[in-house]
Amino acid sequence: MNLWKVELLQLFRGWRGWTLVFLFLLASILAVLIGFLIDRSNASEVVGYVEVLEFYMLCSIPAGFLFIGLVVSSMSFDSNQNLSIFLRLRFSFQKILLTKLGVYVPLSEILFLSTFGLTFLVSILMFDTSDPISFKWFVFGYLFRIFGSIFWVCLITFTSAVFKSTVASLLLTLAIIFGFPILVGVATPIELAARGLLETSPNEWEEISYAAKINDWWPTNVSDTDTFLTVTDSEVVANKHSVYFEDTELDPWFRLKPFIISLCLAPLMMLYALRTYSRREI
Amino acid sequence: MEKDAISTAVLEISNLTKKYGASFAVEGFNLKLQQGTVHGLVGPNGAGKTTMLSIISGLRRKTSGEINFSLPRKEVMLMPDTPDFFGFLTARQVVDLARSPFSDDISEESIQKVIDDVGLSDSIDQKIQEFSRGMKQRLGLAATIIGRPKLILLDEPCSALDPIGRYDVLEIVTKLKENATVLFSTHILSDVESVCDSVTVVDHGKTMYEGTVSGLSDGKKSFENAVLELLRPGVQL
Repeated sequence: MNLWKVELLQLFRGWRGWTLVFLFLLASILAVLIGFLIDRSNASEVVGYVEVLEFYMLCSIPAGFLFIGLVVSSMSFDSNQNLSIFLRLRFSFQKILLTKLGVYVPLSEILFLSTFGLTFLVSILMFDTSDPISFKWFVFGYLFRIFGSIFWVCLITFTSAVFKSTVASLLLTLAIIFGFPILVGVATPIELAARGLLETSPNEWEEISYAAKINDWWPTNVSDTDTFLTVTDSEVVANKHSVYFEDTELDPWFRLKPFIISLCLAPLMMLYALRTYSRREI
Repeated sequence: MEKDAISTAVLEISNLTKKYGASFAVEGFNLKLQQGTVHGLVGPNGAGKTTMLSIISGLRRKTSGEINFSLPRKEVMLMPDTPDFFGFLTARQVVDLARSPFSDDISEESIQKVIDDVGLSDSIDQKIQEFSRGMKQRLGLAATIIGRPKLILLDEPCSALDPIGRYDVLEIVTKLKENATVLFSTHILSDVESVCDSVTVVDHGKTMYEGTVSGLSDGKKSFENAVLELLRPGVQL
């Protein structure tokens, strides 16, 4: 028995790991089903396999949230004082953290890639394949995704270190992911109303509103680059990208600002977390 | 040769202090533990016993004072008063996990022996979630001694045990001093009399007495009465 086995047993001997697998599979099934229903109900709109992959990414969001919850709960091992004493007396906190990250980071990528691949295989058999995915953009997007995963790891390690309690750590994580963007979403129209600019088109709000500009730098937005995974060859030629049937300009650096911020924050958050874990009294 | 070994101090604590805000959990605590002895740490609730053991084991930081070990820190192991483990593991797996940092030196066969010693042979493949508190305490002892530490800190190891369990644990503690030094915190004064070579009585983080068990009772009164009188003058059993 070792820490790796314990971590995997904790995941797959109970409901946690299997629910996660189920939610990823469900995302795959739902994506195909949604694509199928839209294809059947709308004769004028041809649903391609790329759209189905976009539906998959939308449907896999709940799995992503469960995953965050599981990682935060696992990283908050100090919340159970007596269990923490057992672990910390025998293993260094670096080893405990590395084991957890060594299990969860590959697991998230394996689950994502395998169900993405499954959706891909099923959808190329069932849907229009005339406009294939651009391989270069897929690789480019995947590099961003890997960077994004590293950032998420640092973020969750940080939020788990701030508080001993799992619930408090999870709430802080959710506040960073959702709380701030929601706050900005509310603040932006209020700010524009106060400045007499509410009549401006929402498409221009990011340019005008200070609150919206701050959100533009918010580090968790780096995950928006997942849309690069479904750029097609024709979209590259037309220099636009259609997400959920809505066209936007195909700009490889549209999330450069959060990318820069997350690049700076990731090591700082990790350092803070390591310092907190090492100095924490049990 | 034996005399030299006995006179070696495994742990020396001088003027140890731990403050939480303005209040002292431990105040000016001194201790010198000789190799191969069992030392009792006695005191009422809130006396600072658990805090002292946590500081010695490195789980908490001291405010001031000196702690010197004559052995590597990995040779020090603490058994908390309410040990807890992953509920989905069996007793065998828990002890194996506790063995894993020492797996080069300690064979897998030792797991069975240690579990036999603490009286959990019948439950060796039972999941921890089905264990009573007493069984967890026995398992905690097994997980503590599997790595063959040289300094063992036991925080009220008999608090949840029935009389047979207590007898078993005290037997183990007596045997442990053949190869290790034991610092043993307890409320049960008769346990101290049974197994300890020396004792420290603490109250409100301060040392009230440090010396041999017989030195405290002095032949005239029982050990229990002597401790009680030290902690609450005028009160007798």
